[in-house]
Amino acid sequence: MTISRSLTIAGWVVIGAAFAMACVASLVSRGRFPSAVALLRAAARNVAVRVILLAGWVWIGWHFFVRTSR
Amino acid sequence: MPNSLGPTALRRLQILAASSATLVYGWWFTDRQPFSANALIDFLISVGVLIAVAVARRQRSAPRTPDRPTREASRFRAAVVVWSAVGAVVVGWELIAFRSLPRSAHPTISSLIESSEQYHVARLGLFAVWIALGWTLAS
Repeated sequence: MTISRSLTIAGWVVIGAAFAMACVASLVSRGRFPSAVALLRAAARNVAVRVILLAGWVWIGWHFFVRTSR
Repeated sequence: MPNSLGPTALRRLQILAASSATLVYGWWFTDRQPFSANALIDFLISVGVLIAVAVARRQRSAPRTPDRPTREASRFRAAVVVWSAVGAVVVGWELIAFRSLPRSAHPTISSLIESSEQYHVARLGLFAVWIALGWTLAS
């Protein structure tokens, strides 16, 4: 599946807006609507989940600081 | 020397010192040549130190249940659904963009971030966010 350039960029704008709205919702809810970070922390209480999440975190760092094409 | 600092002030001082040291290291680390052995070694040092400190802190601290308020939040399930949906859409859109070329016309998250990585300050900001995420997960 391939899409046009304008659709790709519009998709990222919509996703960014949705992400921002969810962040704002968690901020103004005063804890009733947990943030993504709070959910990650809760999930990371399980050792297996924590190891998987940390492996993803290591990959992100490797990708952007060691293998970066800047 | 008398210890005139209270526990809260001491804790803030520790956080300030750790943050400053992290930023100084990050400024130096994010100036390393990509794909080099030095970049890889310094990256592994970052990962190792963060995980070692987080594990030591976890073992030293009293048992905590920080996730209890999260799980008992009135809109916990809605949050799980919303954040999972956002994550799934990001991954799906990333894959679609990744399969489309040229990259300049179909940017991925990586290409968007890497385009800003030409600035050292941006790399330091990215490093700080990455370290904060790692600390959140490991501690």
